[in-house]
Amino acid sequence: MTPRTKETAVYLPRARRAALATAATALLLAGCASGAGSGSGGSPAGPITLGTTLPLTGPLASFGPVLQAGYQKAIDDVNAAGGLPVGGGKHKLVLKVLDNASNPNNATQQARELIQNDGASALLGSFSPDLNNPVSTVAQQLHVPVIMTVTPIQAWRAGNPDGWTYAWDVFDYEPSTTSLFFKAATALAPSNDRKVAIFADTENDGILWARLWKAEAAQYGYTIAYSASFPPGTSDFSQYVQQAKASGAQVLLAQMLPPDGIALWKQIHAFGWKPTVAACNKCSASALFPKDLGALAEGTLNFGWWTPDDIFPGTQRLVSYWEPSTGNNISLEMKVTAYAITGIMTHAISAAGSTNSSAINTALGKTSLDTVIGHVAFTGQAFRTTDYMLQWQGDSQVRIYPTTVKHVPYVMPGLDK
Amino acid sequence: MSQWAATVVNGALLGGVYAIAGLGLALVFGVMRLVNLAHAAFLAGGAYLTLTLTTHTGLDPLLALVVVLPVMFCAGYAVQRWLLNALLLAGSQGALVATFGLLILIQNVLTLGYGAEPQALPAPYADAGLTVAGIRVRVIYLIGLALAGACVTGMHLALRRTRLGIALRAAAADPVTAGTMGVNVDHLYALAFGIGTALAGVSGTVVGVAFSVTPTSGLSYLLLGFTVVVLGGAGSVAGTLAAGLLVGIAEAVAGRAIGGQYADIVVYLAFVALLAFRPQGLFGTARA
Repeated sequence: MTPRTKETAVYLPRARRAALATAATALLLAGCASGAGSGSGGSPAGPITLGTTLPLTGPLASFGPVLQAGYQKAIDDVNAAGGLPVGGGKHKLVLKVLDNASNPNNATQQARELIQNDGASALLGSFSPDLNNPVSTVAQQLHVPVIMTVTPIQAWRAGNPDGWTYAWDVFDYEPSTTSLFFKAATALAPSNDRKVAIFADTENDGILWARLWKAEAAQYGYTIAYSASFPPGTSDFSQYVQQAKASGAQVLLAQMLPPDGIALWKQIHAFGWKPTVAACNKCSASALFPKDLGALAEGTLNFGWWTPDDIFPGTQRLVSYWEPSTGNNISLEMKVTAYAITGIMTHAISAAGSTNSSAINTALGKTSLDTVIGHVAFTGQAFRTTDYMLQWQGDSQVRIYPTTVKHVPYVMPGLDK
Repeated sequence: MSQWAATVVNGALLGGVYAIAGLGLALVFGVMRLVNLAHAAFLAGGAYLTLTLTTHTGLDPLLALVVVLPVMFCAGYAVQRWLLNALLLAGSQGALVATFGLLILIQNVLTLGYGAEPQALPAPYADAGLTVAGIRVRVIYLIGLALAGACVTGMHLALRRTRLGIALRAAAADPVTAGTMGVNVDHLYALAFGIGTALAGVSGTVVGVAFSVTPTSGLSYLLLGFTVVVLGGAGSVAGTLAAGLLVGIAEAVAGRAIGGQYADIVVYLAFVALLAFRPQGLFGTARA
């Protein structure tokens, strides 16, 4: 009996410990689940935090501060009006910003940090698929909603073949945008220039844009005479430019980072290649492009999705606020869109009546809102913006296509001179 | 065939830019056996200093080097004399970590001062080209190669023909014995680091004119610089230039043959393979 008694005596505390451990684990997991998004918490007690991880340094540093300015202005406007109405009370908003240095690994880590450490109820997006796909993955895993812009929809969707449910995108849909380059070139540029050279880096959207341009060229009467693919961060394009020039290409379609694009434009001029159409997506989307390149930047094409000529409720007020300091349309365009998606998110939080992340996400799905970039309603987690073809003329990007809306005449690229 | 010749020639010219990036690293490593990670930040810092001078005075970037070089030299001298020398007494690990700390510190200071967006140094030859023997080349690459050649020649002569050079070599070979012979090793180390920092300033200026510069853009040239230094034979001045040209040509030829997205793989595979057979680099001497 003694051994049995002893055994039983030992067994019972073990069982109790196991039960306690199980209960503690369950409580811990429950705690983690609620901590994953402060959002699960229901009615907020104090300020509501929105978080964002932005490329404030690194190769994409041209864009992070622009988005930050748009987010901050939207939040300042809400706070100036007394706060965001949620669940019967008004709550101040706080924007928590982290610098991911243009690094996707940092973006992943910081998105988690914003949710788990800083208590962000929702996230606002970073820049481009390379940074926003990792952020979307975190949002998906932790069930906290995120809205992003300047992230082409197809490249973003490719980041999750099962489909995003907590991530939302407000931007262009690549097949319609890439074809816009051919349509604009056909309508505006010399009629017999139909040979194309593609310069695209190996980032997600570089690969996708190059593939779409190659697939669409024939239907618009163009042939791909040369195509260069290179890693982001490439600075020497000597051999590529010489091959493009030798191919007889007159149309240059490029997709790359701003520092790489600045280097490419200099080398195109140095090697005497004179394309009559020169487009650089992403790389020319910064005020630094004409500042660094001077006359060489003139006439460079880039797509856009909003101009100050597109008047929606609140647009004029924002244009008046930013235009004196912005000085060019592209920064204004991103700021206004960042402002718009912040408004969409705050509207959803208000509609949800709490900071419960699931309720906010459900409210986002029901969005039907007039914003400063037009009426927004999501289809398949995304809202497709309207595409325009913009061109650097002086220190501004102006709309040149389609010609059915307010536009200015096309000018030949500075590279052609 | 002429296209391939153009690829090789332009690759070699670009190699001059790489060689300048590696030269300062080679000197510091050759004299002190110190891997100077802050070289990347000094490169960017030199470019921004040149940018400030050209913006405020309208000076040509190359003329601005007259001011940039002594300023960078003094900064490098001070860093080595009053920071790194003390750390080197306890071995190179502490100094290595200190150069990493300097890298981060300087990058952040540059970001605060100049922003993180790419900025190009304005010069009439930044986007100019000319045709030499039927091959179109960039003027700034020619300038880069000429500067690399001048720096290598000057350094080679200084190390071989001057008392200072002989003292530097003595300090590099055996600092303890050199010290007992009356050589001021601390001063010589600081001189070497100062010259290396000034060379980083030259490199940054050429890069800023040829491409553009950001506070972090020195990092890619740090990697290239190390490649050039190791390939040339650590501490070999002439080897650094030769290795720079080789890396430039290899990158260009590989990019043309198999595509730019794979060029680095081929170049670094060849680099590793070469070191497997010749660990001392192309122009270094094997140690017993």
